[in-house]
Amino acid sequence: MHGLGFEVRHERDGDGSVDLLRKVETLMELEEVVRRDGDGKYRPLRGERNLVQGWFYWAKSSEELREVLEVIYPGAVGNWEAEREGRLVQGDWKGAAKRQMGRVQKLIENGEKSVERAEKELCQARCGKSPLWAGKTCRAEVGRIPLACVEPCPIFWDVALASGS
Amino acid sequence: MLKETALILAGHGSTKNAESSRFTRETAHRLRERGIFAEVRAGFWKEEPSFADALRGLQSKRAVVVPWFLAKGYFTTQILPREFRETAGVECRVTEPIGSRPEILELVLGRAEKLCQIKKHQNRDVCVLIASHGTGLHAGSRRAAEDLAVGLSKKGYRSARAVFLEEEPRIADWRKVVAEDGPVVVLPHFLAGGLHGSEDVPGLLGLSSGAEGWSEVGGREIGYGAALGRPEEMEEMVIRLASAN
Repeated sequence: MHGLGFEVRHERDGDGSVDLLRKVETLMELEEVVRRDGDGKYRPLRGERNLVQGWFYWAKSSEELREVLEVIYPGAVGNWEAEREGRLVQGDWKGAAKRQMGRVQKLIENGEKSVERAEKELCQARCGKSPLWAGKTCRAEVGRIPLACVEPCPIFWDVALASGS
Repeated sequence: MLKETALILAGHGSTKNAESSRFTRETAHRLRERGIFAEVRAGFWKEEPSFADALRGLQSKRAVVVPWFLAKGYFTTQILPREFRETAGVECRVTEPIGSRPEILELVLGRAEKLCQIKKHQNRDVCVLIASHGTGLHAGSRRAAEDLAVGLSKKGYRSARAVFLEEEPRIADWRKVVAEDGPVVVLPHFLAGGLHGSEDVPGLLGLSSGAEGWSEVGGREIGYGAALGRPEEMEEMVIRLASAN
């Protein structure tokens, strides 16, 4: 129907007809799709397990497919390649916290518990990425790009700070 | 050369406000469409894609990073050079921030003129304020706003001063900085989309919204200018920064 290329859609939308799905025409439009949850609220955590359904994007080349994946799961393809080539660098949360501003830096001294809680509340409960920095592992399976998280994200720091207050 | 180089627009972003990064992302998409660079990404400090994600996704071995910031301040002199030190096998060059371009003064002057024309005010009757962030962490943020105030003062306004969120003189004390009567034009020295320019500054001034235009606050006429950063205004500046050696 579209010529050669790659059709990208939500896994839960299955193999059904594209006629039932909304065609997303541009990467900017796709960005708007993935940046909102089902209620239209801001979805800052791209790995969160609430990616909306009901759309598809037709990527005309492998380069465009890469751009599409970059919008949906930023950095995932690069991490996957780095992992396969044995050059994936992963640190710990303290190293990442050192590069942040004052309040987050303070977690290094007395925030161990807050960080553990945030890992449970955010990473385990809501995010589909595997936090390598928290000792989790992440292996590629056939037909699946692994979603590695190599360092805590800004939302993680927000949750850790809120959990300590 | 640019054809073999990736462009990264490096902005602040927000975990709470979806609109904060809109114009950075939109500019990135527009520049990607033009095909000037090998690849184009936007990366952020406080939202995804992070700077590291933006780098990891690249296939190019060389990237030019244009800071989507208005001042040569803490972020652009401390954080960005550190975060974009050669990592992930990509050689990065961080340029001056977009705020360093001379066109910014032209944009600010244009906004002031537009407001004066709406009310047919003469420049000599109007006090102008540049409302900026300011930070104790770095003097560059303050300097950028004060330089714009100097540029505005050459256009014959009654006065032109910079006021700040986190430094003196404070935005909330604007009445102390301007003449006792007459119209006041306030130009936000913030990039569009963020809450500072659209909510915080208008709130401190007593305005009910951050929309461009005139309002009355306690008997004073206040003209509020549009924030900076519209993609159509920024695109060429980004290219010039990325092309400069």
